[in-house]
Amino acid sequence: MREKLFEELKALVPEALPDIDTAKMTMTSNFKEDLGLDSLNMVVLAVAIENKYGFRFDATPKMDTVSDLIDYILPRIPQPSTPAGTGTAPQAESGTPTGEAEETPAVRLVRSAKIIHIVASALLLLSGIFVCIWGGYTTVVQWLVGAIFILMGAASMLGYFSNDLYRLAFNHDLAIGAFSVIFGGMCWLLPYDTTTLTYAVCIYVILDGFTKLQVAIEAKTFGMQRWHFMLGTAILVVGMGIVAFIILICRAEPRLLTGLALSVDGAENIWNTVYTVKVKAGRAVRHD
Amino acid sequence: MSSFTRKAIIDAFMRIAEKKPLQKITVRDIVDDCGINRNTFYYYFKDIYDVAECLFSYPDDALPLGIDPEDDPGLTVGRLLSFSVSHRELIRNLYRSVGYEGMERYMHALLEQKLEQAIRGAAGAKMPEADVDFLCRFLQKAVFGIIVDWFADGMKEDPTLLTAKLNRLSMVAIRAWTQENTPL
Repeated sequence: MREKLFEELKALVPEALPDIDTAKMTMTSNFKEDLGLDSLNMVVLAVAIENKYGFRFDATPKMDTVSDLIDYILPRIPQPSTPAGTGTAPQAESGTPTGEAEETPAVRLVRSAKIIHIVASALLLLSGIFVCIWGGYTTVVQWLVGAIFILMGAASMLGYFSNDLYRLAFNHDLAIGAFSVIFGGMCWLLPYDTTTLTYAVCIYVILDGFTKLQVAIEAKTFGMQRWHFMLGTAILVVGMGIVAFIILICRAEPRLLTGLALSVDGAENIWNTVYTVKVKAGRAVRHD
Repeated sequence: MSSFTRKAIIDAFMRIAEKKPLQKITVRDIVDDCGINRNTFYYYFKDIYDVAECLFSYPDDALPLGIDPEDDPGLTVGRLLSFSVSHRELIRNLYRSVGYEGMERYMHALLEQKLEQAIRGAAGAKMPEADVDFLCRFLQKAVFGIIVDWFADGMKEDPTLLTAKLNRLSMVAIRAWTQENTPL
């Protein structure tokens, strides 16, 4: 091995340093005195050796002679592997089946948060449609709306703590989730009151819309290609919520608009969650 | 652990920058590639350009270029050129994205430190600070200009020969100035 490396170095030195004659180079040749290399030449040679053998010199190795250099290089380059023993079967794999690795608890948590959030958002969408079509608020309706908002709030807070990769959809959901849970609880605890319920729904829609606006802006910086669509839907939801709120203040009946705003908000939540919540890493997709 | 995460981001960036120009690389690409979350990326870097800049800077852990702060100045240039050859597309994409001025800004600290090291090593305490600064800037512009011309030319010249020429010329200039011994 030393002899082979010596021959390779004997060929490499004139390639890297054309002015150096290696015809009389031996194992004991001194780089400076016998071959005439100065410190700059040694640097050039070091780089050429690193490129050829794929390792890196320490800052100041001792290399006065060719033999010193070979002693330095030998332990740092891959040795040729010995031929496989005859008749020896390759070590069997430990019976682990091929296929996807088992999911970690963290990945399962993100997946669960994503699914629960989508289901809660779907219920929100349906409740909005119900408000548009039915319109007749009763105590039972108030309780149902309250239950949906509690579920929505719990899903949002679970999403916040789930630590998905993109941290877009759930990044601001702790506050909005808490508001949602409190509002849902109020629906259960307070006496039946259409006006208060409608005010609270409008405020929720406006707050959630602004949260999604923030997510859209962050998605743009992050590199999500459909951030425009996210921005547009967020602006729509905020606008609908504000208009419904104004109508309510003017003592008019905002039932239809409130229901629509709730439905659009629910739909927007579903789409945002599907598009921006990444459960686990994979190679970057060129176009989504 | 933090150095490991930082290195993972840099490695992911280097892989992706071999295939895409800088302006088309997104934080999402990095997050998808190395599996860290978005907030973790922003904990270490402001944006993609920040990651590109750190390829040439001195963090606490080893430089992606394989340059050690203790390296001989000549070795630094050699490793810079070797890295450029082995990561040809990455350097090409960087250069096309940030241009001459961007590359100069990226390499400024690296070249300045190493040239100053070489000048002080050769001149010792004899050379006044103002002369050290001027010579350092002069050589930095010269060395960087040659390197960028080499990038623009498709890295055709052998990096080992170019390293030898740059090192030799720099040392000749430093020694001549030191022997002249006349402050500016």
